[in-house]
Amino acid sequence: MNKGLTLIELLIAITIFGVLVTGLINLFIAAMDAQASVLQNQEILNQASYSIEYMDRAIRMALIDETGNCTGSANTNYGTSGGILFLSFDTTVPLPDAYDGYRCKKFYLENNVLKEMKSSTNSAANFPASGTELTSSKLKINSLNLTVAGDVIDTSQPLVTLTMNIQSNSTRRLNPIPSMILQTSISQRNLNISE
Amino acid sequence: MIMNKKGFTLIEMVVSVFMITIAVVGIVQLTTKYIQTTKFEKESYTAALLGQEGIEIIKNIRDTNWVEGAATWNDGLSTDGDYEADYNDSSLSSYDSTHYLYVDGSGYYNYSSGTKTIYRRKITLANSSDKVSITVTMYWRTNELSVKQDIYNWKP
Repeated sequence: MNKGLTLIELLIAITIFGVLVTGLINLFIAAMDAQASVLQNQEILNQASYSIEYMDRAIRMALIDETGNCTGSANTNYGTSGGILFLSFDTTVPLPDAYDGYRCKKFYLENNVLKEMKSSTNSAANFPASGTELTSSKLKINSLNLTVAGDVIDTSQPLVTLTMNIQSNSTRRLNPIPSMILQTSISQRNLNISE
Repeated sequence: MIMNKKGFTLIEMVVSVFMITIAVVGIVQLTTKYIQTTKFEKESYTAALLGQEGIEIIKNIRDTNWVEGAATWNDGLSTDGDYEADYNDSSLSSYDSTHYLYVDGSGYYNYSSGTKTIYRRKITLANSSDKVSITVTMYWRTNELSVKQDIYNWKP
């Protein structure tokens, strides 16, 4: 009596098999998407925390620019033309130095990549042709906005607010694309008093 | 030969389905947990930076007092209590637990314009002689995170 499967039996078997396999494939795809999302988010976090802490420290320790050659106006701590400009102490410069080891530094956004640039002097006129990347091509920085408040010498202490809109630039496009808006403020460490 | 080799018994089916279910449920739960943890990590970092901003706003008020030569070093900070302030405020307002931070089109977290976020920020001040203890507490969903710092009247 072992004649094989009937058509009905075969159809039912194929249907059950199909449903099971579809379910498993969907589960597998969902798990892969989740994995990709986690990795992309981790990448954002890693690079964001690095670049924000790095900028935070440099901005906090800015020197008052008495000439205004770097910031664009005399006796200010920060300039905001096309990014943020300030005098930053460069530990690689041997002392004594014509500018006491301070160099004009700029953090800015170019082609959705966060960059820094260091002048060879205390002036924004001596910036190199191109800067150094602080974030990789794995990220797309949609915006970097900086506000400086209270940068008036002998009047108030400067407060720099920095906000970045960061999204993943991975070729594996997820919906929604992992992104973050991060903000922090930095109060200048040294008192804003003329010497 | 016994004629008992015709397929699975019901027991075998139930046991195998049970085992597969456990495996699949395990994977799904692990993935879900993974996603939740990453989300929490992102929110915590955002909150930590906003908390740090709260501390900086208070420090900025103290330093401005010195720079402008205010009568007291803790002018504007001398009353203990719960306060709120955003990045473009130079003085504090009373804390209102219904006030959420908003994020505007440029990406600034503030109290007045833009899209409502999940974050709330409470700045608590406690004075003792020559010291103000700052505690910034960030609230979001059911989570909270505190940042603490003491600032001193160090300037002679």
